[in-house]
Amino acid sequence: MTILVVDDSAMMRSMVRSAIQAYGSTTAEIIEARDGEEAFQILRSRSIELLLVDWNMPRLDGVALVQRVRASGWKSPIVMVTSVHDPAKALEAARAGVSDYVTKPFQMLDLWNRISKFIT
Amino acid sequence: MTDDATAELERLRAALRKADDERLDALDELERLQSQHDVLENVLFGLEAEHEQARRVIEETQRELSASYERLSRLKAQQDEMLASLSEGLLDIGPDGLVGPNHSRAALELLGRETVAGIHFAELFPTTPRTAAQIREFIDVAINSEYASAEMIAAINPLREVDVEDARGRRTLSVRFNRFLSGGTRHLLVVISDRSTEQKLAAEIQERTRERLASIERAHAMLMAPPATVRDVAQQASSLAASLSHGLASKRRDELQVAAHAVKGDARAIGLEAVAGLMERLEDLLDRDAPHDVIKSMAEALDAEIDTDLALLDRLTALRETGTGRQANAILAVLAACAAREAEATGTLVDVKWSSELDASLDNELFQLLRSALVALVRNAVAHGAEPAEKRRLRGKPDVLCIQVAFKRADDEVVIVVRDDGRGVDWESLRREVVRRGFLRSDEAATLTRDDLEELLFADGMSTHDGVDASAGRGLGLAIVRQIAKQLHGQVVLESEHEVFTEVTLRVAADRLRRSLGRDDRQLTRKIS
Repeated sequence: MTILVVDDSAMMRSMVRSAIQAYGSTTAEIIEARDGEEAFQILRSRSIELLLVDWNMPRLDGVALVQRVRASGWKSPIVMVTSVHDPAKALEAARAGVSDYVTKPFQMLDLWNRISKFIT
Repeated sequence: MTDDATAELERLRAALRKADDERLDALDELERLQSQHDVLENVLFGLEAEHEQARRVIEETQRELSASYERLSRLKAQQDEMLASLSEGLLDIGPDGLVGPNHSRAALELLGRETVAGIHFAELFPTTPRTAAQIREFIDVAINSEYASAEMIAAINPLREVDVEDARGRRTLSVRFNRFLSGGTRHLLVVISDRSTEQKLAAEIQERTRERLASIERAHAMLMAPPATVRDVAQQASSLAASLSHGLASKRRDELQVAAHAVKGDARAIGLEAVAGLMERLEDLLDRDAPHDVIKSMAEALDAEIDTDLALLDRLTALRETGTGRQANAILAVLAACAAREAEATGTLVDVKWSSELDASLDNELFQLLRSALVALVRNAVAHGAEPAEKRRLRGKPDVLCIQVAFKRADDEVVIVVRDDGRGVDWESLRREVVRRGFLRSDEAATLTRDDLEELLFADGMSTHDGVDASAGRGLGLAIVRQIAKQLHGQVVLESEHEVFTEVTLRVAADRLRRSLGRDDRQLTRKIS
């Protein structure tokens, strides 16, 4: 399967990548994008089975990306990985079409436990 | 005449023929009518049969109908009884957010309402408009979101813990939501439980733990400091308290402040934290020119604290004078403190029980080693043994995790046993973990014996615990203990039954204890070496 990790921080992208590779699938292909705009272009050009997305990003933020992606008819799971802790904000993410929500900072194992159900 | 007669005869004959014909006609008619009657009779009979059948069908249907009514009302009664007997509030929310007609009696009691059916769920909680809007939106998302997972629903649930206050009093409710389909539409099954008692219990235990922790830490600090010094500092603090309660006129405030500062430093250095804390507050009060009665009550608190400390010191001194020195009991005291601290940090409730049959004193090196081993074991017990109270209740265990630490004496050995009644080792999950971590192939893992698996638990980095934190769960705890056992030429054995208990036994030869004490027991030492 192919997983797209969207975060403007290179460190966060590599942490998410390590969590997936350390605990889970070693065969999954992981590709990265630095913001929502770049992610949306990638989603249009190739097939992705799981989207992991940060909230605060330049150009196009996480929730806006999720809204745009869902509006385009994309139905695969989306996990929001974010430092936004406000429950009202989490509700906003759910309304936008997020499948699950993980807050930063996270332990790699915790992140894996939350996303593993979406990984085949 | 003959002609007349002949004619008359002829007429009569004709009349006779006609009468005969008429008779035949009448017979024909009779026959026709007869057969018509037969047909009608047949028809009638058929109708009667049909009618009879219809009647039977109707009767049967009626019987069936009343049977199913009976069944239905029996089921309804059962359901009502079930709903009534539930201690948890149960209700369902339809696609429009309105509460459905069926609910448990407890739901009404918990929510403090006469009725809930037909009301929007968000209106059942006395909240601010902002949170009401949030609940409304949450319900909408929980029912209608095409993508949100069950975990996501749980994470955004604004009613995970909610305080309700009304005429029936104040209580803390926990509300959980589960999605289900009914008649092709999405519904939410809502489970409401009262967490007040649980919370009260937790607070009580935490308070008890804190108290115990404070007294243990105080004892530990005093064990480490020379008794004369402790007495000296207590004396200073006591005379300071005396001059405070006799009025400030006898001494100037700045002098008292300097004295308080000095006592604070000394008290902290020897571990009299409570005295040091009181001194700090005193310094502050003097600095702010606090009124005399405030300072006087502070002096009283200080006196009480010093009395407690001195009483404890007397007990400890008596213990020392019996020649046992730094006892195993002191280690256990430190451990109980450590477990309580550990538990508090993780939000787990722990009941530590300890016993000791050991009267040999321990030297410092050995003390440190055993301490590290025990700290690791107790941490392990908390990290791996902790389960939610509901789960423990299901297994017939008391709500709070019990850790028993025992020092035993057996022949030439000192035995340390740490046993908890927690969730135990899930051996099968360990087997899977080995494969998942890539240590073994699954066919290799399948052949591992219980001994092999136990061995694995002691290996660095192996753990079946799914949460890793700073103190335990990294699978290093047992590795540390094994390392220490090795250093002491001892043995460590683990026994566990999944969901019942875990027990780790550390055995150290008693001569190792004596040798490290450097006591004058040369004969024995020689015999062994």
